[in-house]
Amino acid sequence: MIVPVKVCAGTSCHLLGNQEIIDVLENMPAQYQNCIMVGFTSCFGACEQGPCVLVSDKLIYQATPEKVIQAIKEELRSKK
Amino acid sequence: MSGLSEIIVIKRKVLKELATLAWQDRMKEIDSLPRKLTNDGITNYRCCEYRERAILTDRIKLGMGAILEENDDVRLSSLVKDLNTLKNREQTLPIVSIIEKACDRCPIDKMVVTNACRNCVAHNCLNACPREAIEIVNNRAYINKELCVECGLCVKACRFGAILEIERPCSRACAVGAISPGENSSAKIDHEKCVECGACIAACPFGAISDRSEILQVIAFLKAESFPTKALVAPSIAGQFGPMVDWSRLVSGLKKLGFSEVIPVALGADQVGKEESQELRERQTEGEALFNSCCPSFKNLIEKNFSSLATHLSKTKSPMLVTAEMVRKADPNAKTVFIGPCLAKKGEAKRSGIDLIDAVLTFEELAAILVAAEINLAECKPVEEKIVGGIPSARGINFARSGGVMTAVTGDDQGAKVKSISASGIKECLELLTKVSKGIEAYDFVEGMGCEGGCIGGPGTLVNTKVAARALRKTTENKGEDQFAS
Ligand code: FES
Repeated sequence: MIVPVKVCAGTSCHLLGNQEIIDVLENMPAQYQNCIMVGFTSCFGACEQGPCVLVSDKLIYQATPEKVIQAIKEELRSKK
Repeated sequence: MSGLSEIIVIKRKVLKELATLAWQDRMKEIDSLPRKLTNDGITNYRCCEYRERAILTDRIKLGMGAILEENDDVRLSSLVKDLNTLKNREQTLPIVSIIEKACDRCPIDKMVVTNACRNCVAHNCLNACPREAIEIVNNRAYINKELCVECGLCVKACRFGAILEIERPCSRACAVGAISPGENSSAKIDHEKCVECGACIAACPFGAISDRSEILQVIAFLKAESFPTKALVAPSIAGQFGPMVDWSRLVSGLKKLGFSEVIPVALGADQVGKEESQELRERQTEGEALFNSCCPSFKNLIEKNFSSLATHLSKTKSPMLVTAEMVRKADPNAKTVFIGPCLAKKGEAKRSGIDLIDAVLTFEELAAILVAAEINLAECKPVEEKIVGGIPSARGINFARSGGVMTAVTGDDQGAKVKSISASGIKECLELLTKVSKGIEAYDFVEGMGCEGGCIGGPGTLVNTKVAARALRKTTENKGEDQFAS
């Protein structure tokens, strides 16, 4: 199964550090590479609380690489 | 620059809030900004909220362009009058500043004996010390500071690894040795030595070093109606605003923000490449070496540390200034804002570009203004319009990365006959220049870049060097045409 991950690439989330999350997602360990599909969006409408990342249908506010990876793991576990 | 620390995020939030007040003409609320920031969640990384706010106040002052030493006890609101005027070019230097209240006064001693010392029988440390600076006191090695020459031999000698060599992160990051402890042992910058590379800013874990910003001036320019304001954008822009923003979206967003025109500085770089190439030919016939002058940190390094080599610096103006000349010629009335990854350009603009450049922004500062103005580049409609002055070449664009200037200057036919080298990062530049000045190595052309990887590794960038390099490659593979196409 594949978990869709959408990173907000809007200017506000970019300023607040989405790049770090994109970096981590692009360099995930091999076992995750095939389970996620990374995409971008221009705004989730929650700019004040960025960076925002959507993992499946769960929107993560003030996202950090740790939070996003955690959410991906949970998603993978629940769908197994 | 890589890795986004808490410190960087705090700086960006401060700039964003400051820009928001200015953009919405609410600067009279400025005195309550530190409180708003702590209420919004910037807390707990300092001991108390009072100190946190005092530090934030200083960050805001730097954001407003103020010199901290001269404005220690003043209210933020009292700075508004002075700085929000359009003519504020006098009180200009220095760019890099210590926020004393945030400086944690890290230990000054370089060699420190830790608890791991067993007072062993061998006493290797004692035997290794060439100055007899070590004795045994209270069952432990003790280093006499008066005698210690910080050679580090004891550190290597101890089998327990009980002696540590520590250095303040700021001092270690500063290749030119411009940072040392001041009277009260907080860090002090010797501006006679500082080359404005910004390495210390990234290195300090307390965020106690920062740079002065001109965002308020730029916002004032953009709001003024009596003159147009033009954006001169450095070639390192590629990829800086994330995966969804290309040149045409950027132009669209900047116009929305109020810039009348957006000009790629790569155009100036193209001209610099040609002129410097010509200069190289002339120097070669004279048997003289040529150094690039486009990187202000490298230039500062030579002027301040290797004055005997200063004659080798290219006389060609930097791409920023050359582009500004083009813009000024076309429209003498316009204000010019250089937008790039660089702190040293802020200094350069003041030292040698006072009549050509009206303000300098980093990409980071531009992003703060855009967010304040609620402009999302990822959602801007790409513009359909030709770049004034033509499309820059891949060579011009590649000025943004280490090795790019060398390629442009030593060019096609010359390449084989020219002995050239490039260095990036002040430390590497310093090592190279040392060899050259001592006559150990000789070159026809030397390219020096103050930041590792070149401008794309600059302190004012928004993405890490690897991502920027990838984006730049994509742009130049299309020879600029895609990126800059109408
Ligand atoms: S820019 Fe990311 S939520 Fe608006």
